[in-house]
Amino acid sequence: MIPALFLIALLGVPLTNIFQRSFDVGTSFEIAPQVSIAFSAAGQALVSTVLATCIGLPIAGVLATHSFKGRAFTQALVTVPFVLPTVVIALAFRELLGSALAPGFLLVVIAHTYINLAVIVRIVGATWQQLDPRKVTVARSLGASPIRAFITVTFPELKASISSAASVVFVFCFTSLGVVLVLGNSSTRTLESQILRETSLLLDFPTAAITALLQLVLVSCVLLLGARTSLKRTSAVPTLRFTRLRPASSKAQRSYVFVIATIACSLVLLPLLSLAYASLHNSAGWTLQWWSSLASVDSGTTRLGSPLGAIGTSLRYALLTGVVAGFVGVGAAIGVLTHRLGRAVALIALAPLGISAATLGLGLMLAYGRPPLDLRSSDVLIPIAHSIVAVPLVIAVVLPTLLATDRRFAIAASSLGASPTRAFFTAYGPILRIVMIAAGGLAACVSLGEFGAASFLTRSSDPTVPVQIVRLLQRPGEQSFGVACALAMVLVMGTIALVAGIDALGKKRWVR
Amino acid sequence: MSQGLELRDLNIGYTSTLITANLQVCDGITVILGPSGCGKSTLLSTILGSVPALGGSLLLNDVEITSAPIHERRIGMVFQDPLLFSHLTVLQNVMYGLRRLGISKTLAAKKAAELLEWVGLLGYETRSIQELSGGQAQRVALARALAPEPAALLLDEPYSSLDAELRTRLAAEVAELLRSRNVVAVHVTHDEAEARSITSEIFRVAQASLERVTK
Repeated sequence: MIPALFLIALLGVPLTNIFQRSFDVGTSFEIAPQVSIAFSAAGQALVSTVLATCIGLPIAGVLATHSFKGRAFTQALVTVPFVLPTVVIALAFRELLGSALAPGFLLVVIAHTYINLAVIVRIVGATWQQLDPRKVTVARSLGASPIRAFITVTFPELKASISSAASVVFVFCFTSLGVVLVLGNSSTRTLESQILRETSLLLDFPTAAITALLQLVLVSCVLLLGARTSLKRTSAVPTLRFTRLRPASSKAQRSYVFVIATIACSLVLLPLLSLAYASLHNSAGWTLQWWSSLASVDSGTTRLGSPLGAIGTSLRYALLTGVVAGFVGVGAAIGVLTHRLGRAVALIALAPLGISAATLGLGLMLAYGRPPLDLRSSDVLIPIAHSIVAVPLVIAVVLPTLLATDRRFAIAASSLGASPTRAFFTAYGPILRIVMIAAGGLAACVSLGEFGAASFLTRSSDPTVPVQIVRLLQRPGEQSFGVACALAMVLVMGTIALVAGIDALGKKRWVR
Repeated sequence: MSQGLELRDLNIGYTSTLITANLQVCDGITVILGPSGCGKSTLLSTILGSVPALGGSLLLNDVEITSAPIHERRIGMVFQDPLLFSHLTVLQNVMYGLRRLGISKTLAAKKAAELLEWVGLLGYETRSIQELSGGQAQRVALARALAPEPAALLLDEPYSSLDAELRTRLAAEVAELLRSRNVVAVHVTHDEAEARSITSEIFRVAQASLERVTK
């Protein structure tokens, strides 16, 4: 009940506000600019999706079917870009390729491909790992070359997960904000960046509301299409089985695995190393100047605090988000197990996946960022927005773990006289403790890197780290860029530490 | 000149040698007996080419194929599970190998239909794989493996997932079908009774090599 009320109040009310505000648009309003931006964003998202899929598939294949030294490291490394803040990745690419490529389409597409490789590798890899490799052997024995066997046997069985992963990647690229702001130009706008522009620059809230609604409709269509294709294809693959990873058997296979793993690691590490280099380098050579400037008020974009202050703000919001999203997400997951309406609540909780951060930020600003209820001056609005963004991920992590827990413990406890609540906690209590910490950590991780909603809701005197980075980048000068890089590195290290902590907790769960 | 399959000191295993095999299969079916985990399936995978040999040589119709890629060996295989391609119909599954040979769709469909008739599944052409019983699926797998006319066929406990009655009947039928088509075959099983119902040419995996089983 609590998760349901939370979501209705903090997701339903803002969306209703956007809908209402869209009616305030004047008679001179024209939809053509929004449609044009939607088309160009769709083109960019399509190219990014195709590239991410083409590069991600061989990596997914190698990680899903072969055992080799460094496999676990490669798999973890490939996931890193997805958990890193998009603003940080955009900055890393600006440092790496900024001198060779002007801001625009190509840079945006490269950064999107990089970020979304993990989506393809994780989603497609999970299915690939379950396909029976002997089917490929059969195809080969029937005269198919390795490529032909992939096209005619493996690919048809992967189609469902590829289309599912591709639709998610498309939506991420279509609704991108941080990357577009840092690496784009006027021709690479997305509806998301347009909403921000209409809100913060043009102060045209009714038009922003219409843009947000248009984006909501388009994103929902893409996700529904992806889900439909995915379900249709899944029915054609009746038997999936877990197959043991095998070492590469021939010299050619070993070379292939080595090349793909090396390319995957290099692709991920190169921009991050370039970012680290920029944070330790100025025009004169190696320096710690940018790191030592983090505590100085003069290095920030506000006279009220240093960049280090932004780290404090982000950590505060991350902690609040971890607690709120942890409780709401775990509550919704428990609801699925115990309540007949639990599945409906979980479905509502997953809705933010299709609602962009900017739409959410705009909705919250319209609903709770002005009198009679102005929460912008308090510390709660951003953690609320971050919690709504994080809750679907929390559910996605927690629910499978709870479903995999043996329910017979609860039945055994009930048969020994325990009340339903006590029986539930006897069965699920030990795992819930670990899962809640892991889920809270994941939500905190989301909060640390979230830029879209924060860019709407942050106070100018108290920005989060991603907002501070973008503001620093909008100012000219070597100092701003260097400090932005140092700040981004702090975020990289913080995020990786959090993810490593969650991973360690996950392993502890299995050790039990 | 020797026709059929010949294994000369073929070292079989992943990292270390499990079996050093010497075997000549000139006609009909040869059965290899052995308990689970002794390396029977690895032996077949090595002959097929999905696991590289650690040493020795493998000849098919007197041609060295030890390091040839799987798709160039002309050796078919039927596994314990039918492993039919679930996105294709029954007919398309049987046509798969024929199409890889460059045979036209019409001709491949005609030949595949003949093979389906041969395994007693005429009329099942347009059915999906999900509609078949275990025995029917294994027959389709056999027809599919034989369609491109391989020079040798490998059978890896192909009937173990079937019930006893069907297993005995299918084993006898397949042995007869292979003989009628002059296809040499290596069949591995752990069931001695099944082995004896198929052929008298039986070898056992013992002390890391193949020993002929006498009556």
